[in-house]
Amino acid sequence: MWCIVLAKLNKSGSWRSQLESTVDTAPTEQAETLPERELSLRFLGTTPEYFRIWIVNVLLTVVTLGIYSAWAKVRNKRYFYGNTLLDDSPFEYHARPIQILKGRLIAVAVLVGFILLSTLNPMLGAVLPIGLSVVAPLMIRQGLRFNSAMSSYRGIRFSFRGSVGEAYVTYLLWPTLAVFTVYLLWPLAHKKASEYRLNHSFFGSSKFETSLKTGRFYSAYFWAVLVAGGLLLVIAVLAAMLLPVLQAVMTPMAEAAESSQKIGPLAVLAQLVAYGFIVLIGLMFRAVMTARTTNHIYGVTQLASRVRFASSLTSRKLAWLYFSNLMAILLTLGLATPWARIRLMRYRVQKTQVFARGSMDEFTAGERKQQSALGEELADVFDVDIGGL
Amino acid sequence: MQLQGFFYAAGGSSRRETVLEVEGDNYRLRAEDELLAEGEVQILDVSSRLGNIPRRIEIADAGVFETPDNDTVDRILKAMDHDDHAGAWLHQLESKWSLAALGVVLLLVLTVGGVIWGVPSLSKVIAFKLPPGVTAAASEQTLAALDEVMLEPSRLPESRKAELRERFAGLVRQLGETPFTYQLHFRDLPDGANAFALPSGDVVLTDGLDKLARDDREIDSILYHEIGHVELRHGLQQVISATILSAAAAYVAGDLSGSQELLTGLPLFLMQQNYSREAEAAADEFAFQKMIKTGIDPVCFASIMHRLTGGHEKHDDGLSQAQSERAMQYLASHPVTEDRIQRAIALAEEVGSERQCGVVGL
Repeated sequence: MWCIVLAKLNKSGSWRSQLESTVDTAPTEQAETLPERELSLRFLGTTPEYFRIWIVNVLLTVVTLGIYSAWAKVRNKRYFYGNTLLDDSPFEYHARPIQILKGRLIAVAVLVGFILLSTLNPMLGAVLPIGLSVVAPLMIRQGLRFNSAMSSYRGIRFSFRGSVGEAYVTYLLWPTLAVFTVYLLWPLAHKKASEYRLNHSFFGSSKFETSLKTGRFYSAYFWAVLVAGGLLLVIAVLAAMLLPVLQAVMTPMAEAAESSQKIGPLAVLAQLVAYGFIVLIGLMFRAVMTARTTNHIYGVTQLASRVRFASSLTSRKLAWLYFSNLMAILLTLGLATPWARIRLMRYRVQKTQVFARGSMDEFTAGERKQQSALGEELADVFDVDIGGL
Repeated sequence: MQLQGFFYAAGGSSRRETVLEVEGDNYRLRAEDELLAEGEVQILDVSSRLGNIPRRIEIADAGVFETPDNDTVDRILKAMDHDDHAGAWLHQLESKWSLAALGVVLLLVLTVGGVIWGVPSLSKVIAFKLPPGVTAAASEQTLAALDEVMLEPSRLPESRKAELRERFAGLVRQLGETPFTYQLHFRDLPDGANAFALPSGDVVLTDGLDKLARDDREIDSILYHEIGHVELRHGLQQVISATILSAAAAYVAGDLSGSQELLTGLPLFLMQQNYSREAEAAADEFAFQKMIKTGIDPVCFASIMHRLTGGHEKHDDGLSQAQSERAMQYLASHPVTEDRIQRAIALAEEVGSERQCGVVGL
């Protein structure tokens, strides 16, 4: 969730392109000679406080048949932004629920239309997913623009100014190439997406810059595959070793079940256990990949040569958080969700550092444009955020 | 009243420690001895309270004043009857533990009730509203997937297949008007006697079941049962339920990176689960009614079910051990209870059974 804040830093939003020429370079050059200091970064959200906000969000969303979800989303985001203090100033989220509601309604209308059309004409149903992947880059870009434009720090808005053309290269061309190379190019596609997000992001009139290394993405995926594969091997070996024992135990049980005609539950249990292992392997892969890529991305990203970042997530801790969060949520029928979100955010903030040269007082705002929530909401509904790139 | 906080002047990132003083209807914003802004409190734009995140007070054209002193802000707004006090009720809701406790209970009731009654009833409504063709493509894919994983081509002679197809067509004609396009498929399931229907109307019969049947009317009864699942849209309801449940699960666990994609696998898992007891009973009932209408003794269903449950052992029907194991496969997906057999027999008595399928000893 810290990803949200840095994603905000990453994603910034919408100043007019003519402003590019007015990017303030003067203080930047000055700044390089100034000593660097670490800014304090704190997350103040607490589970008891957030729990009550979350449950009201959920209840009102249910009672209003989903309408309130737009308000819930804004309150959620405001809570996490507002409790993240960098150098004692909070981040802020400014989207108005009505904007989001409009976006959601349009997205739902498009989705329903899509289902109806594909029902009436199966051929159309086959063509539409392709059409969808063609508009996906547009929607992702719009989502990035909206999210950044709605985020601010010290009264200055973020913005994202990536072009449409590059959105297509990033979110259509590269993923397609990756798929056609049995995902061998996937780490590269991931890197391209991170570059697109960061290198076109602005804080006011100051630009984010990143110099990502392809090798670091490949090594992140290599370790993720290695760890997930290793886990798979361990499970397979354990299963093979336990098989005779299992058979000895299960056979009488199966016989008993046969006589009472209750084979069902036993088969379901076996499937659940198998499904659990698949989930576990997926979590491990994700934890290793996220920890390594995030650390690298933060490590080589700067804001106008004056602010730099560092991240020191560990795969082990992240995997534990993912796993324990998922278990807690499942076992409490979702009630542990607020706790899970807060502790994940706390960990990510705790492991992130921000360093600045010179004063943080000298950033300047740019001009703002109205942003529509449509892109972001469409992306939510169709889940086009390809592989969490 | 006084508020301590930061002031961010519009246009830049500068930050000054400031004091906002409120006196009567007016405010004054000062930094040390310098007056930064003043005016009417009523025109200040104050953000709504959320937990204890710093409060944002926008001063038009000047900038933003930000203070962690939420309680004093609330007091000022209340005293002034400020426009932005209107949203305070939400924070009240979000602060009360008693309400949260009520929320937990309500949520649990809604979740459990939703999963047990809500989702199934909603799925039922949707299933009957959707045009029957909606699952054609999905069903085709499912059958193709099953062919790859577990089913093998049927080894029945063509003449037998033609015969069964003829019977099946006869059964379908008895339905009268139906929105589904029925088709009978033959497959072999090594070590398995089974029959199942896909939501589109594609019914699959395995060689094992044909072998197990002693009378074609027994096969009719099984086929009617499967047609019942299609007509009553049991499979479709399952798919819809699974979709709703997984969407809800994804919403709850939503933005917890790491768990979202994993939950999307869940509908597939849920889809593999069996029909409920109620659905089986309903499909049975459907089959019985059609059988009676067609002149097939309901006892034929009891007869083949009885053989499937392993009743043959008591009566020495000469079924091999392998055959009875095959029968077990059918049971795993179609839980056969004594109730279902008894129901068929009772119905047979009611309509004056001719004991067509020869169920001696039942």
